[in-house]
Amino acid sequence: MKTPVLPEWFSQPVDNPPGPKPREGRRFGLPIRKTLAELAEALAREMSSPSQTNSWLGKIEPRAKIVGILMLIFGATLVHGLGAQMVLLGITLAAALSIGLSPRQLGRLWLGVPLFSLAIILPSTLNLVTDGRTALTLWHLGAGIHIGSWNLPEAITITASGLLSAGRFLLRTTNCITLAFLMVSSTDAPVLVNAFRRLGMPKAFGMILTMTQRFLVVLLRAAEEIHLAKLSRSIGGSSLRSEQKWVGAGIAILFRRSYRLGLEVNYAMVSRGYDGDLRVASVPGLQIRDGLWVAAAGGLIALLIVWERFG
Amino acid sequence: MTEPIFEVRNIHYSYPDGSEGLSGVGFSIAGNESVAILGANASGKSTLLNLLDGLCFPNRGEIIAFGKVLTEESVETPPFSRQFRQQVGFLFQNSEAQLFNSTVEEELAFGPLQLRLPAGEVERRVNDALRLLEIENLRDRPPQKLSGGEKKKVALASILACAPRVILLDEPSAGLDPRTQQWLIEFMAELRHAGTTLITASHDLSFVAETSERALILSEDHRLVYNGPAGEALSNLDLLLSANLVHAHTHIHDGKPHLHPHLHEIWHEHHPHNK
Ligand SMILES: Nc1ncnc2c1ncn2[C@@H]1O[C@H](COP(=O)(O)OP(=O)(O)OP(=O)(O)O)[C@@H](O)[C@H]1O
Ligand SMILES: [Mg+2]
Repeated sequence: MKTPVLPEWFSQPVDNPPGPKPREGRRFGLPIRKTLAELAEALAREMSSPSQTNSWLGKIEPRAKIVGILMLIFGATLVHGLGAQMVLLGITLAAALSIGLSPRQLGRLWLGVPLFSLAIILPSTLNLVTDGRTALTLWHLGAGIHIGSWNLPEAITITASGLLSAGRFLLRTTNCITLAFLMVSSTDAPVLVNAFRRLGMPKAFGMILTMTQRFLVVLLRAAEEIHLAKLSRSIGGSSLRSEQKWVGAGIAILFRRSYRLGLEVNYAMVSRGYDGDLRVASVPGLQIRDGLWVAAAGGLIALLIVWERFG
Repeated sequence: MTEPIFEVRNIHYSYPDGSEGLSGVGFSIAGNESVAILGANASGKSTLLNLLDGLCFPNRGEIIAFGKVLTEESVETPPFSRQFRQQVGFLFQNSEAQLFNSTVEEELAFGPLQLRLPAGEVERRVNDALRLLEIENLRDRPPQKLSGGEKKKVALASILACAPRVILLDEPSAGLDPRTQQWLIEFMAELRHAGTTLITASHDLSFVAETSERALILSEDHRLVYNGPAGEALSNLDLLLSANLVHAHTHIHDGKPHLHPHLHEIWHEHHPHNK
């Protein structure tokens, strides 16, 4: 083997590198690095933090907790009226605050997910989709306009019934998401998967959930490392555009890497005896408070339904 | 020699994407041996360890472990599956992938829990393993945020908690500072003393010289080119050169390979090694 000869650019002075001068006074690469780190952090830690798992909800037996939460989620899809949904949201919110979730965390959850569903539901408020009494006129078209054989109405309006159904949908998703978040944040991921399994969820499903959760943490870590490796090689500030371009390339590398990484994580789990059934440190058996919790969840839903039908 | 723990019979392995991992490798390993698997990068060391751990299976040939052929079926059927996983521990090359729990404590409990040990026993093993590796202070830390050396120790502890009879170690000395390396050498000697079989994949020759008495050498075309005493292999410069394990500027002193810095203008003197 011959000793490699270093190319001449290797020993060029740093204060006179070839190529365009880097712009000064810019911190480089921060936004994406921060996002990745935050995401990894959130997944690894915030999913369930000790303060939530030690709260009253965290102490409820995981199977009972799942049953109760599922009942509430099911209830949220049954209840129609805005009033009943609001009551449910109020109770869910109180529960979230009582187990120590900060308004900031809730804000992030509510901004992210329901906004997304809002984008989907918004068109249905228009009279093009939902007929009904006009609440707000958006755009006056005039009569007799049509696209192909489809006659457009005289004006495009937001209808009252459209608004109502959008509001109902939004409240309902917010309720379901918050309830699911209550469950996830107050239970350690392996305990949760284990409880689902004991409630009869198929083994393959549990395996996928387990692998996904373990693998995501490791994968995000790898993503962060690739970004750090790139950062350590870039000299000047990088523009947002070049950073975006890098993300594209990075994702490609990540996909290639993720296959091997996924395999390795799986190997490491199998090697230590994982056979598809995740066993966790034993949780105390069902207690009276677990029964009370399920009864309370069921009672609340029954109450809301009765109130709506006959109240 | 006791009954062989591993009996490897002329195995071939190629990855699903077609790249070759091993071709025509055969050897056997007895209880309480310490064997090194030597080979240049990409020679197939990690692949061989994966096969020995029943994580993937040879395309041709067979591996017999504890008297039973390793197949997808046999390693998944109790009671052998559980015995095998308990008796063979694997320290992966990439501790990053090996550590997937959210705290060190959970990481250590993972193996014993999967082996269905009772809660009290799990706790005892976690505590003992933490103490054994002197990492009690890391108990509640997330493993992802530890230093490379700390990760290695946690990974080792997580394996020891299963009380294996055989430990497969993939590049255990990589990334460790000299002091920690020395600690690892002593720790491995201690494990040997307790009757553990050690199979170490490495290209760190001085580490191998200190930890293993037998060596298996894989060539760059994934074949087994040597199977015999480690000392003899390490003093056979031609063999090491042909496997690309050393550089042409290596000399051997006292039966140990020694790399000369390739700076001809610097005068280089050899002091007699005091061993
Ligand atoms: N998951 C995989 N998919 C495809 N090919 C692989 C995979 N893992 C390893 N290989 C290939 O198999 C060959 C042997 O790889 P292996 O990882 O066993 O080498 P190694 O001796 O452990 O090397 P190193 O010293 O670098 O760790 C290499 O050519 C490698 O590219
Ligand atoms: Mg390797």
